[in-house]
Amino acid sequence: MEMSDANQETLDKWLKSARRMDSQALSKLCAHYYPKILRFMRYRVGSNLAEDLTGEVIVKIMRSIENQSGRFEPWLYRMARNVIIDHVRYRSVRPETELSEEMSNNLINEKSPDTAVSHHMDIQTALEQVSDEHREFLSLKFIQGLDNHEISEITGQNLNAIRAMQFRALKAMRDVLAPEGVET
Amino acid sequence: MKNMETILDECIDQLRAGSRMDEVLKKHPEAEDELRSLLGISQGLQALPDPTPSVEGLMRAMSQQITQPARVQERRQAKNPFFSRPALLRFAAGITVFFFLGWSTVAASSDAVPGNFMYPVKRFAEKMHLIFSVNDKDEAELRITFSERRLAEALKTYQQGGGINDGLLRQMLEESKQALNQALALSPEERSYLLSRVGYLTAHQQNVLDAVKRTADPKEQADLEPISELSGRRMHWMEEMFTKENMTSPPCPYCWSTSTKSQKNDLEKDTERTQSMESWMNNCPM
Repeated sequence: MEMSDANQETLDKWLKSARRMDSQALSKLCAHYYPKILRFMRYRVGSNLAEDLTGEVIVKIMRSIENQSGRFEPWLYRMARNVIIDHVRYRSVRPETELSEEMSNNLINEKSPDTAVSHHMDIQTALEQVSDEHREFLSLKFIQGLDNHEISEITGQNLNAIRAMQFRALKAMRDVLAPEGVET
Repeated sequence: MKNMETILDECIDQLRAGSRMDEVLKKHPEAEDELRSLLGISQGLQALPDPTPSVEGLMRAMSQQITQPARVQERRQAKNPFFSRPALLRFAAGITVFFFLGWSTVAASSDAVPGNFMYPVKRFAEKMHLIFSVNDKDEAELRITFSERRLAEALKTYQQGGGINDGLLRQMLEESKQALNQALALSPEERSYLLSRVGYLTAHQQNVLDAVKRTADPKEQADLEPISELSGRRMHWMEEMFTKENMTSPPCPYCWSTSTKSQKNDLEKDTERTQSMESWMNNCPM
């Protein structure tokens, strides 16, 4: 199954039909974006919560696609952000609470002889330790691969603020990684 | 003069455009160490592995969302039947099926029969739909559809020279029995409607089996005999149930001997009828 290979033209076609409540187009659109949302959630809130919150985003897409306008991806990520915010606000569970267990597991497994795996764990562990604001930016920019304009559309920040955030967030990651003596 | 934030941003853009790290750093010797560490982290983030999507996880998460009490705003939207929970759950099932199998794969599987490599896909899609059926009426409807499909598959197999597929025909009867079981839990009106549909289905299936028997060779007739006999008993059992329970029998010009009777809507009668239906189901052939 190669839904993620759909080109922009195909995606636009699905989106147009999905807005008219074409169930097949909507299903294909959701199936296409599911891995992206799951990846975003995975590195924002940890794997324990990622599937649940991704499911919530998909259901919200189904319920509100009819009124969607403008570019789809920024709309989608705004929705994903709101789901995380709602989760923290209404259930009084901080993402960090979920992440701490995972972080411990990663530290236990850190002795992996595979350097690449070990490096992933260092980066992942550091990502879990930076502030939520930095983690959100790093997820959008580097894990999701969005550009500054798209991030601006999602977060409402101007491009200068985004560049400043990028610098601070990467430095925060380095500060976490440096005491461990990890080569970056 | 450019500040560090801008330089870093430009370097990231260049790396994304395909430039090598050394080429990028060469342009900023004054900040090479700083940039190298930050760019290395950005590349490490990009290389983080993708989580593995699981069909069970997605189904669980979506069904959990859909079956939760709706918030006020969502309740307003739910007035639109498109947003009803069964509809959403069907959608959710569709997404999981499309995601793991692909739309073209699922569509291509619709005509598959046993022995065809697409047949497992078709059965998987059916299983997904069953998992996402949220109430007895939904499940009963699906069971009726699946029963119809099993007969169609058995007929196609027979027409292609594959002989009588006893397994498919038994599944046909089993699916319609499951539909009856689900119907028991429904309101009197819905139950009556579904029983009527299963009754018609059973009579139609018996009629088809009889037609096949007339054209089959002696060996095929012998193969068909047990299932035909079982289907015949099922039909007479249903006919008897309709008669004794004073229920409306489905219109079936070629099979039913019972005349259509009016249904009593009295609550007491309905309760008695439900209890009686349960005892009928205990004696369902097969």
